[in-house]
Amino acid sequence: MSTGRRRRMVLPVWKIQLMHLPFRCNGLGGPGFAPGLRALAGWLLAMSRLTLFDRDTLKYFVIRLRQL
Amino acid sequence: MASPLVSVIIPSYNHARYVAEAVASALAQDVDLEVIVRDDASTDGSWRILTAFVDHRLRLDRNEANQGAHATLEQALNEARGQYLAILDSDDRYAPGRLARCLALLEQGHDLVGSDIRLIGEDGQVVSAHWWIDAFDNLKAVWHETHDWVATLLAGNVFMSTSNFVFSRPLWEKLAPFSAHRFVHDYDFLLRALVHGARLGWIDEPLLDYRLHGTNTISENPLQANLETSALLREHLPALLAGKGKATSAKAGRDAARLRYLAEQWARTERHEQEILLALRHEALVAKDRDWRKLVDDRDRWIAERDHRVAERDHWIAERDGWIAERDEVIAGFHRRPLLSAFGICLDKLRHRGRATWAGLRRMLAAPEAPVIKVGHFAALRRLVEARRARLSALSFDVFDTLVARVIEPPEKIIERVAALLGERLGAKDDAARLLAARHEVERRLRAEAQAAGGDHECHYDDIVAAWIDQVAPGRAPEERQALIEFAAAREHELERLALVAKPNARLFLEWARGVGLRIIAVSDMYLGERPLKALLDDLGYAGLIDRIYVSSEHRVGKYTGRLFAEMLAQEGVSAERVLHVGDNFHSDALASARQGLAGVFLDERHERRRRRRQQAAAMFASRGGIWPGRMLTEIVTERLRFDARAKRDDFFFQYGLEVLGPIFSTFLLGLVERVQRDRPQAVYFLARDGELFMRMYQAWGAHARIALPPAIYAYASRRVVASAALADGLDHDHAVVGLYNPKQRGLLSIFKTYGLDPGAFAGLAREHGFESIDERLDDWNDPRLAAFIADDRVQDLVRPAGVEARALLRDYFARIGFFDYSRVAMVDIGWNGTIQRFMTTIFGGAAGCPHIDGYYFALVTGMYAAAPLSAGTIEGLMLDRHRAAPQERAPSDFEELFEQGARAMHATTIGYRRVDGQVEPVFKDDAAADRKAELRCNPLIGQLQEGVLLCLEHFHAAQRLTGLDFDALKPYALALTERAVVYPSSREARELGRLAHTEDFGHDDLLDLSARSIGWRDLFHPRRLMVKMTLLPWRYAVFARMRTPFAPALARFFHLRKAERK
Repeated sequence: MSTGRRRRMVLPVWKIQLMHLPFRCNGLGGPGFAPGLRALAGWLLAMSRLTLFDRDTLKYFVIRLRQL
Repeated sequence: MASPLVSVIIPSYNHARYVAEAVASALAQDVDLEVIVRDDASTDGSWRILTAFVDHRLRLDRNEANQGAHATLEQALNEARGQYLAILDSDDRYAPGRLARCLALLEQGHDLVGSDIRLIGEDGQVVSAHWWIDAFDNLKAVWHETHDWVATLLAGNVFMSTSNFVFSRPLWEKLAPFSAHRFVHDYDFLLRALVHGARLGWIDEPLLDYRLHGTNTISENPLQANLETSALLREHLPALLAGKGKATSAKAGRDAARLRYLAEQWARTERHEQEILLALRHEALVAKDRDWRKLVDDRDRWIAERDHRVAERDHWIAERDGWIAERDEVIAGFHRRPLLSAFGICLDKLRHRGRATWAGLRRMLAAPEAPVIKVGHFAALRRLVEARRARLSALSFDVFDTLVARVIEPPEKIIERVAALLGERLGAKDDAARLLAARHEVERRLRAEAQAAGGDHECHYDDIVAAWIDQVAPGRAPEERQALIEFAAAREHELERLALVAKPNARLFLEWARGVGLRIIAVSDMYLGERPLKALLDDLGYAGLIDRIYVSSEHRVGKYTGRLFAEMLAQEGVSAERVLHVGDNFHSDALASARQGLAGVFLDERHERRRRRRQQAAAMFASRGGIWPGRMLTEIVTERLRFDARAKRDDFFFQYGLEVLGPIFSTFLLGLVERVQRDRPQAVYFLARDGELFMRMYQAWGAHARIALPPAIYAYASRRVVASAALADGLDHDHAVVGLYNPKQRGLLSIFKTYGLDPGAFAGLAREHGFESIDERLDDWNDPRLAAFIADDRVQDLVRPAGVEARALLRDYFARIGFFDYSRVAMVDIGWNGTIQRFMTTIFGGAAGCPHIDGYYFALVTGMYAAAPLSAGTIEGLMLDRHRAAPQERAPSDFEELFEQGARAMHATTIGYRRVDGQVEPVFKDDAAADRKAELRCNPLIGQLQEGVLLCLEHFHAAQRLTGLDFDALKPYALALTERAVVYPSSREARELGRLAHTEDFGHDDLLDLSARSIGWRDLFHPRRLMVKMTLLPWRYAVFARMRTPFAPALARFFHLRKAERK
């Protein structure tokens, strides 16, 4: 899949938050497409954690060190 | 051939153990005899034993099928040739010299002779104590006392068995055949012999051995034997007791004795019958008691189980209360010393995690002797295999995430969905969480049992499903239980198939590896069996590429302990060094295989790892609602598209339909299907032209989902034809201003065009009412000239006839497409004002036969009819409905043309109807018209766009089936996609979509320019001119697409919303 397709179909969460800002600044709330700041922060944290603590990669790293 | 003196008849049936002894005892008699043995189709080898005898006196015969003892005896007796006949049952035996002794009596004039009997056991040993002996001795005593055969036989059958019969042929010819009694045919024969005046003889020596064993005929049914005896006595008594000769005192004494013995036997028989009946009743009671005992035991077990569960629940509650108390304590501590408590909590967490990590690391530090290799993709794997080719004879592969990719993570999502579907099937739709918990509990239990049995914690899918159904739906009938098991299994297989796609590069690699002569083995930790896994792989395109599959559920050992690899090596008969195992799980595939001596390859595909990560996070956040469920579903759609060759096209409009409009329209369609299933209209009318794509999507959804939806009917209708029909009641002010609802309106001319009236016919009247020209713009909709013009009867006289004709045609056309045949229908269109439904309701709403109409629209702005509620039926905009006052839905109304173009049919606008051969047909705008020509040029682009939308729908449906998400859950993300498409287009999108020609068909013939070419950099220096130009632009946000930053359109959006809010 091209990155273009991914970009168009699976919108980055921060971009959705940005698209929601004009509504928020005008006080036009209600049910809509805002991800929410807390959820955005949670998402970024979750993605970072999954990236940093990739168990298989860490294990491979340790085993390779042992085999050297 | 000379006839023998005696014929010994032996009927044989399943007495293989005794028949040889019987035949031998007959052949050993020192008289001129023949022995006739007829076997009644024995099944225990009797016939084989009989045929082993070699003796010219022996005649053997065999029935083809079992005919019963009576018929067999008759047949054998009919074959006998001897002057005297003797019968010997195949389980009894003669004493030596028996026949000679009996013949001596027969020669003296007796007709039938019997002898004393010795009772023997199964092994031929003499039995000295038995009730049978007592009964026999009593009968013999009667004979010895009376020497009167009538008295003796009235006391009972002293001969005891047909084996004790040696009789003359004349007697047999007189009495033949034996009666059909099952138990007393011998007794009957004796009584009839007496009645016919036969002379009976008796020898007081035991010359017959009567065998007592478990299958004696008499022990089959004692009650029946006694009943037969009673019947027999009743039958023969009159003849036996009929007195002959003179009445003397001797005769009277004899008769009294006979009657006494008869009474004794009668009483004995009756007593036996009663005892037997009592015994049978007792047995029945015992059996019933046994059944009841089972039920009572079951009840007691259930009570014990219930008590156990109650105790368990109480324990949980106590445990929960303990946790709550602990939590309250922590909270209280946090309130007292927040920082210290937070620090303590963090420290605790770190300590726990540190311990777990350290334990894991220590386990891992035991590095294998064989190397662990990492490759990033299949091309690198091929290089590795080529380098080691000479040392390898087989390649072993993990299946999931190595040969096949998942489009949904984590895999447990499938199980959750199956639980939800099972809940729907069981009528407990909201109970999916309980069903899921039950499934996990069952799986845990089975895994623990497998481990306790010495295997790894592996179990088979069939066992899981059966135990699961038993737990969540106990007490079902076997057929219903089986149906539920099959339902759950079928759903899981269906969803797994939707969730899995073959990796093209993996398939190419396997083809190459087989080409160079390597054996391909698949090794998987999986609860599916080998056969369904093979079927799945074959279905995914791996047919013929994999030589053997090893599945943990079948072998009850897993990869992670290395035992499945050991099993595989043992069965394949290859050494570990000659096998290379490839998999994506470092522990199970690389490390565990390396510890078994295989070369373990860790397939670390970066994009797969990132995909798993993204999807796992998306699944975590989906439960929050908002955009997250929709975003998760779109992740699945993109993953499916990655492996779909049809999606690999470069044309912009196809891509735009697939990626931008596809998810938006698919979400709308899901909402439409949900509403149709809820409201159950009898037919769904898709209105031309923008309903055409929705109709194709609706039909495609029905086909993908394999569900029966109400029929879809395409209606050639437009706002113009229904508006014209509304004029039959005259033109009023409300109708007139509808024609002015356009920024580019041209006064009366727009009104006439809206209603299909000839402007030339009204030119003179317009001038009379003060209009300078017929196309003079009317900014004030309450202009007194307009009011006077409408009030003029001459105007109304011109308007009404045209309206009446249009209304008749409209009615006939809708009657032709079956509209008035239904009582409830749905109307689907792109929407905006719902004009067609409103006019249809106004025109036909009061008429008999007009159905209830539910209008479902993509977007509903209701600007023209803001103050006019619908007189009948319902109307709803699914993606946008101004009635909901949800500003974040507004994007479609900011660029309506995009969605109209995306959904429109290729044919021209319907401008009226005409009658052809009595049928009403639509009349389309002329293809020679300038705006239609522009449309025709764009049709190929629209076709590409709609191909993309339909392909997206296919994958959207699969993703929706996998997740079970509904319209309300998916809509927020679809709104975000709509906002992105309208407000934040890329420069290429703005440029390409600007090529589309958009025509207005309601009051105007203008061709709209969708591009933002009319605005240049110079306009930035003339803000007022810029504002006017932007107001007239159909797609004002396209202007900012050139700026390559989202901040400019965001700022423009802010001001636009502010302005709209002030309005």
